[in-house]
Amino acid sequence: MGNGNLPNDDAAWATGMLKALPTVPVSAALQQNILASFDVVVARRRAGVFARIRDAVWPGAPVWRPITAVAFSLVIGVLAGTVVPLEGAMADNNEQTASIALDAPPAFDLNENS
Amino acid sequence: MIDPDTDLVARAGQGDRAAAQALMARHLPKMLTVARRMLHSQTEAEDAVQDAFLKVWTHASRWQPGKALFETWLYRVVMNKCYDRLRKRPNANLDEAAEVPDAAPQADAVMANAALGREIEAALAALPDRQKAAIVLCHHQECGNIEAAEILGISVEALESLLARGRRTLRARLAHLKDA
Repeated sequence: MGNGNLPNDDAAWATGMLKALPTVPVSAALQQNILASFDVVVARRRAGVFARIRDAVWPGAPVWRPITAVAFSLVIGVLAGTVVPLEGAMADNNEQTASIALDAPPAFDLNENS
Repeated sequence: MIDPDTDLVARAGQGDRAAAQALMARHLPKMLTVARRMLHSQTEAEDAVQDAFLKVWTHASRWQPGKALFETWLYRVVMNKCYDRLRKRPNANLDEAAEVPDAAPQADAVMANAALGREIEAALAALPDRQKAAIVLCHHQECGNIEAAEILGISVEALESLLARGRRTLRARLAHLKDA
């Protein structure tokens, strides 16, 4: 029966049908843009290690942006560091006191009750 | 497996503009065609291909030959760029499918061919993305099943299933053309 050949028939039909599609034109502007992007990448690569790090952190951004972001996060970190550790240190001391009290041998002064 | 692009990619990675130009000349028409068929929009296809080549330039210096053919990898990058764009426009396929031109006979044969092309393109655009990708790679770009499966990141069996479903849907949608 013809059914056994159906998949191949479908494949040939699809290939033939898609051949009727118009060719896609490649514009000169597109080629120029792609080559321009190549020039940009090469220029960045040659700009040095700092530029490479900048591109890894924030691709395509001007230098001031990652620097501002790092400076801003540094300021926030310093501010947080000057306020938060006081409470943290107190919490640590309390814990320490409690552990000392538990570890210490019981001390009873029997004479005091008599 | 010898990759004919290895030398060009390596040279482009070292900043050789002529190599980059040769690489572009070799692959741009095919990649643009795939993107155009996937996105059904020339502007978006050009943007997707431009993004893909930017990725090529960025990764060229770290390209390791032997893992995959450069062309296979490039197809995959272009496909992923297309998927990203398709994901950002929900229901776009349905809208575009509604623009299927009238199949009324045209006086001019050129106009008729153009209309036929548009109709096929619209039917293709209306397919689910994965089926469309499989059909475009295997029946339009004439990739082998193994290569197409590698590009799409699926098994050959899954690819064949996508192809069968895609062809069936296309054939049903374009049945009147076959009869004509």
